[in-house]
Amino acid sequence: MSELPTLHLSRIAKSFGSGPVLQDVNLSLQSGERRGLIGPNGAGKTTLINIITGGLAPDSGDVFFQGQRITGLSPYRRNRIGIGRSFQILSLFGEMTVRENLRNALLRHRGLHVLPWRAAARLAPIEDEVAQAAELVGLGDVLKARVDTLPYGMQRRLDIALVLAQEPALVVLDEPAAGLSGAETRDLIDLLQTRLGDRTLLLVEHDMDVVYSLSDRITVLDYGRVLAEGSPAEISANSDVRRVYLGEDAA
Amino acid sequence: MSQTLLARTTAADRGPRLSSAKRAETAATVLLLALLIVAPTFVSRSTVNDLGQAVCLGLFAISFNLLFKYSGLLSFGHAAFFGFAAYAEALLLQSWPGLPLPLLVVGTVLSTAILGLLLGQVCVRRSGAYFSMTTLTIGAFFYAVAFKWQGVTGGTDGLDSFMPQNLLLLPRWSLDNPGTAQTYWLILAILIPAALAAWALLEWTPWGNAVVAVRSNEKRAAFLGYDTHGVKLANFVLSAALAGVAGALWAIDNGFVSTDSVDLSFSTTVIIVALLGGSGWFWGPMVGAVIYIAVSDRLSALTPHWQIFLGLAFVGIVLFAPRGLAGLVQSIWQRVLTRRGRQNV
Repeated sequence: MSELPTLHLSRIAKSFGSGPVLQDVNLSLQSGERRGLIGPNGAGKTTLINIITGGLAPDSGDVFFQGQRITGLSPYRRNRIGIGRSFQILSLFGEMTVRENLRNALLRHRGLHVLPWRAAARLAPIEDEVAQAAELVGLGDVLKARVDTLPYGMQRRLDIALVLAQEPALVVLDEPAAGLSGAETRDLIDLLQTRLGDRTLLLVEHDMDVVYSLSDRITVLDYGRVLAEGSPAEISANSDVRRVYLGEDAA
Repeated sequence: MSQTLLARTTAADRGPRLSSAKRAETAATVLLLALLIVAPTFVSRSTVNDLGQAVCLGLFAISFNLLFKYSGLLSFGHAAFFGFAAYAEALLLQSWPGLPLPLLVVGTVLSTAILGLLLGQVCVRRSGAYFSMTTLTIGAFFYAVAFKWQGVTGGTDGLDSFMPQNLLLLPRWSLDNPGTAQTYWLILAILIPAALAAWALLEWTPWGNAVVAVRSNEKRAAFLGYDTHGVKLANFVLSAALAGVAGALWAIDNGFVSTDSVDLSFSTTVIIVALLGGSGWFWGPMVGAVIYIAVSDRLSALTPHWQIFLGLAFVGIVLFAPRGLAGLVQSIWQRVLTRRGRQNV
């Protein structure tokens, strides 16, 4: 394993008009690590994800990916060096088919997306990859379906398929289980457990079953600060965490 | 077997019925272009003159629609590029009367594309109403320059005696009488390849796929690695270049250039033309232009208030056939097909 962490956040701070959202956040993910990021609503989790994936710039602090400082990099450049993300509120190509959605991801991933001429021989393998990517998440039978006509659970799967199809080194998932039924959530856990491989994962999720099932370590954010960090067992035993977060859940 | 695998599977995605729609669309394209080519042989001399204007307006409307349909950007100042090209060509010819025609057109189109690159940097940073307002401002600016900078543009008089002297390999007679079938065919010889290239690019290649992906969901496209600004900018430049081809050919066809070609009202005319023909089909604006010219010609002969009736017709189209005349024909055709399909069952 390489010595450089896949993701390293150094003293990240961010304020919006109403006040600080993130203060002095440090976070390091080793290669292959699966990290859960939890915290009450408004703790700054989505803001942090946006700072990692490029939607937002931090007021201060730096983001490093595999040792490279990427703080000012635009989202598309971060994607190209190996950061893939899903969205809490689904963001798909709604009026396109499942096949077209995956093709968008794969043409870009293979660097064929700006070809201004026909190159059938080079495009043929893409169609096989599209089919495989759909198969992996159980969408092989609905390749031709328009995405916004699909059930919500399938759209969630496609969201993750778009990320995984590009084989990113770092997978950032923002509440992938949001809105899913119990059975769908268990399917999602199975899917991620089998398909993530050795990719590094940063998972924001409210469903603690998902977090405990998938995470090697968990970081707890509260009021924009890191409240605790540790193994799932340590976190579930931590009295501060129980008070501000898990306790609330149980109440 | 000229279709790429990508194109075939894209068609297959939309199911067998819509795949035949894609084939019908290609057939309609061939039919439309064939009609445009043979038209001068069975219409009167004055109609040929109108046709020349119509195809230039049609290409201009196609260039507008490149942004509207494929990037979801509504330009209110597209005549800036059309007019810039027309003036640029006239000025190039003033400076170098012996410039061969192909070089003249290439130089004009290149300079319009460079203008598009410069202005596009500003315009595509915003979308929606902000994009429209920015382009409106640019359109107003170019009109003001053409109107006020009399020493260069000739002001309201415009620039006339416009006649390329050096046709290189082309026969001399092809430009001797502007408005004749020969000039018309010369124009088509440049216009059709240009339009076909843009059509193939946007409808049949991964590049077109990228442009549509960025329009469909810009945020997701960015997080999937698409340089969304670059994609929109490139499409803006292509649109400007195509408007440049239209302006260059229009100036050749007319034999003069005036402020009409950069007028803001011309920027709105092109919107009407595109929506009239149907912005959902690449060639819809070309259909719109032929009909627009034909109808406005007839109407203006009948009444000086012809624009009122044209406006009413446009409102009717927007209300009752929002996909334009091409869309109307397509849905009627579809209905005929399904009815026939039902009878066959």
